[in-house]
Amino acid sequence: MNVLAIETSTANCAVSLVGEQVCVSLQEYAPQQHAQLILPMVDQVLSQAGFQAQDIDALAFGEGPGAFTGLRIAAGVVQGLALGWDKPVIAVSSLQAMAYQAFEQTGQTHWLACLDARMGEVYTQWCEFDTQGQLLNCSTAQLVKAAMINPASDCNGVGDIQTSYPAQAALFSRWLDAVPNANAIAQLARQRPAQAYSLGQQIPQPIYLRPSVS
Amino acid sequence: MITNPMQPMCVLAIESSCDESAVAIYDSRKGLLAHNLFSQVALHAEYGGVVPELASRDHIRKITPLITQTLEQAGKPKIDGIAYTAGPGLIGALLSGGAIARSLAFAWHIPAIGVHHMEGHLLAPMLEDNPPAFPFIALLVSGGHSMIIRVDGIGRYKLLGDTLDDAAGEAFDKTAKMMGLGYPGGPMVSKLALSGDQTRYRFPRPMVDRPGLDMSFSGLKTFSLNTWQKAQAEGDDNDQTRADICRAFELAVADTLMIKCKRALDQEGLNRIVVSGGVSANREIRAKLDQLMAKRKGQAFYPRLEFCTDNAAMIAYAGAQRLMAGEQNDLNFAAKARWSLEDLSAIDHH
Ligand SMILES: Nc1ncnc2c1ncn2[C@@H]1O[C@H](COP(=O)(O)OP(=O)(O)OP(=O)(O)O)[C@@H](O)[C@H]1O
Ligand SMILES: [Mg+2]
Repeated sequence: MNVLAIETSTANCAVSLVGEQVCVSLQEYAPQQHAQLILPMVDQVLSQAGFQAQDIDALAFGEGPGAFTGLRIAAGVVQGLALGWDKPVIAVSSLQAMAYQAFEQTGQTHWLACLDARMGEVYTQWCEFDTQGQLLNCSTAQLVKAAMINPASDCNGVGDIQTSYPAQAALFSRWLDAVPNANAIAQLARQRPAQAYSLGQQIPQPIYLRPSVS
Repeated sequence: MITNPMQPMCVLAIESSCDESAVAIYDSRKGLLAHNLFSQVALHAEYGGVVPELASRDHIRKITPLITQTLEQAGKPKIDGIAYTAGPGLIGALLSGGAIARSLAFAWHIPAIGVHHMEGHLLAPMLEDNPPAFPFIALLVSGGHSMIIRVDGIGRYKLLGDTLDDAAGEAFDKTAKMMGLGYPGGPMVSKLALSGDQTRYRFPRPMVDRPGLDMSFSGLKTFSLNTWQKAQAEGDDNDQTRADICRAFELAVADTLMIKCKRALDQEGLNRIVVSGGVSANREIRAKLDQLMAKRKGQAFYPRLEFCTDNAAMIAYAGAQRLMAGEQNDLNFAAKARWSLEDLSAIDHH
């Protein structure tokens, strides 16, 4: 299955095309620049792979949680492409993507993914993979007070809270700095083809976890 | 209808600058094929104004289903270009529409253009049966703007007058809010004004005794507040008083706009006026301007009522003119919160 994936939940703007015969990824640290960069990156990934729309089987996107504007850019771009190309969509948690990246890097299978949510809070999700990187189990993504992060002594952590909450990051037996990338979104999407939906069934939406009015 | 030497085009447009999600399809040969709008007014009403994050979240839910619905209503025509509102407006709201619009154009391999929301308002009367010919004076009065513009062609805009403080629509909204009339206030104020006694209060006509075409509406809003608070202190804060204040307020706005428009027409030696934007739905303002133009044997042009407030039909029209002139944007869909009409490029095919 050839999957074109987009991930813009943090300052990392990322596009990836992954399939049996192909693996092309582009990413750039680009705060507030996703609207400028994302479509040129999609274009470049396709031409680098020599791919046309008809070669893509599904679109995937990082649904969040993360920065709201970035999440809407990913959801909006995927909506436009899915409508224009008539492709199904697979939504993937951006926290799961970070956990998957940590697995790929270390081979370790249990991770708590932590993403800075600002205002003293952190988005978290716990993920467990098998030794092939297949996601076995995960908790639902949550918004918690940074001070509430209290991992078991043998727990691994991955994410971007090292600078904002060093004390919390230090509680993990192992900590990895990461932000979600599109390759992990694509890999996870390829594990779950049955979760693909058409625009007629569902409109791709971000996961916000925080209300719009506080 | 403007005759166009360029290739005709069928354009799909998306508007999402504030609190309405709208989609329209305009064909330069056949006119408007379909248009749909989802208003978020009820969502924001309990907060007494537009909550930006709430607006963005709703746009990203509603626009794609609106596109599908509008394409079906139009009979699934072949789309030659896509227009979307790129500013001015709420950044998150604009980006929601822009992301969908630009990606859809990319997927379909067709050109896309980011349209200036106020150019959309300004050209809205072009969708009517007797469109104005250039040059004309445009009065743009909406929730966020109050401008008098000389229009010599598409993209040929000269700002003659602006508000120094509140927009006209904002003053309507604030006047309504202080008397507990709900949001948005313009339609409520003009409805209540119908039963108001216009002899009871007299509101000032701000800035009319000063030369120039700039306007100011915050003083009027304060005058409303003072009048209402006095009525409250006297135990007179009832529905009749509300209606009387609405009437006096509406008359003052209408007179002020009329005087400024007359001055602009005289100064520029023109005799056609276009009035657009949400406040142009107001009956009293239309009556005053019709009177003015009848007296000087000129003509006033308005959009139909549903195209006075935000809609995608006006974006489709404006976008089509620019796309047909060969203008288009690259893959960047960054939005502009602020954007001057005077910075638009002129197009030359008229
Ligand atoms: N009948 C009416 N009389 C007076 N004002 C009205 C009437 N109907 C609508 N309005 C006002 O029009 C405004 C909405 O117009 P519109 O949708 O064009 O503005 P906007 O899109 O919020 O602002 P902008 O176009 O400047 O970005 C509101 O302020 C509303 O109160
Ligand atoms: Mg408007």
